[in-house]
Amino acid sequence: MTSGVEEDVTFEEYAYARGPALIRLARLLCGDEHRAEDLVQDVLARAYARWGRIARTDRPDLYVRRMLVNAHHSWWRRPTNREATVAEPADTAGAGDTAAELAERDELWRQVRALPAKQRTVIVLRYYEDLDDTTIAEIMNCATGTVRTHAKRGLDALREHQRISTTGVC
Amino acid sequence: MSTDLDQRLAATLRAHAGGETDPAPIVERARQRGRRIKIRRRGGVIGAAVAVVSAAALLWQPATAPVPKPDGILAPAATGESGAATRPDLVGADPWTLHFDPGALVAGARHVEWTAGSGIEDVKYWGPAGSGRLLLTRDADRLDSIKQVLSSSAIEFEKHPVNVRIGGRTGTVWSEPNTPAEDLWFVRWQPIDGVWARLETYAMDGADAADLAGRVRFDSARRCTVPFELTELPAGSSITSCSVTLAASSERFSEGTLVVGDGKRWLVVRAERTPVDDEPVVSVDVDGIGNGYTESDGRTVRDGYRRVGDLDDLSEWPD
Repeated sequence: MTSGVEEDVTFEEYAYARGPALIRLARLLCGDEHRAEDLVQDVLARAYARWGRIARTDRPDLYVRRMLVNAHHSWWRRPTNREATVAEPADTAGAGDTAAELAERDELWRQVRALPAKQRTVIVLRYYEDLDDTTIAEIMNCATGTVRTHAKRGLDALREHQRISTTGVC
Repeated sequence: MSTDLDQRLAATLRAHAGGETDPAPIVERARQRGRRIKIRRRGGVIGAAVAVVSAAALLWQPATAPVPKPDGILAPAATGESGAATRPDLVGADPWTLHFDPGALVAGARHVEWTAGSGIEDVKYWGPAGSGRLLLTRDADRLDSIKQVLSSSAIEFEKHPVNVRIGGRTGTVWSEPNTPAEDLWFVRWQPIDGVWARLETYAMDGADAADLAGRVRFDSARRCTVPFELTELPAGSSITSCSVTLAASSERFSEGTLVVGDGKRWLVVRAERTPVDDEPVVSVDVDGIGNGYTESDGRTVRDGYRRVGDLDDLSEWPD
């Protein structure tokens, strides 16, 4: 039987090691710096309360990321959160980035944020977390085919935006 | 194969994920709040005052919680429709009607998803006062085949049910060792002959869960409605299922889904509010397992999508 003290240490080890990565993931899911930190804090609090069970799962980090994704899908629907002032994560420009590249990234980021929540989640998990579709399906608790469908629709929408902005078609 | 868009997406997301953050303040606050959650749960297991704890759960909210507008999450009353108590034969048969009223169950929820049709009536609710899911069907096997539970994990039930009385009827209650949440309880009962119900809810104990189940009323009905209509359907097809998620705020509409089918095939039309736009983003899913509609069918249905009424005024939505 794990003692409460040992559980604390294990939770802390996890939270300190993975907390920054969870915050970055939450920033991309929410598109809002402050909301992301609130979301991670909320998820970690609930993870703490049931850490004994989570720690016994095969992949605790996968489980916590699933909690984060689920919480996000519920979170944005909450009225006060939708109405909150948005503090967008700033683009961290690299040394060689031109103004045109920054503008292009800002536009693409705006398009990603405009995607439906599940499509946006798949895009973030695939292209930022670099996860395969099977793992994404586990996190989102859906079939792999559903992940592919969300990804295809999200990418199709982004390509369409790109095509319109390139050709000037309204 | 990596494409230009793939690479630009990866670069864009890396750039907007932000830099390193000191996790210490967040971890410390999470620990403090997590301890309070554990204490509440332990208090719940030890304590015997079911009603008192339920009331305390209603009162407990984070300091920044919004003032709830309880009626915002309620689907409209289905005037002229009977509840399951008088028309059990209609349960699950009508995509526009839920033949029960979970009003007392969902009170205080921040958002509620109402689903009807295809043999099942389903309400999911989330909020500071508690979360839960109620399923109603005429098919007991169908009910037992639904493994997706509130914890968002599909589980294999290892139930060890205990008999309880719910509204004068016999039922069973159990908690599941396979769910990560220790306080997720299941109540299964037959509120009316020929109709089966299952409630999944976070509760103190089995008695608390059974008490919640007893609050569901079956003498009235509620309507599933969405702020859009589909004017073009493939030949021989009809709308088989409706789902709408409502929020307890002035922005009532969160998401609406209509399933189109013909008994063998199905496609899904979903309208969803995003954090960016007030006007819903509409998607049509035609691929997936178990359907046979073509992309052309999907385009036809999509072209027939029409927004109806004010997004947040349910009185303007289609009847």
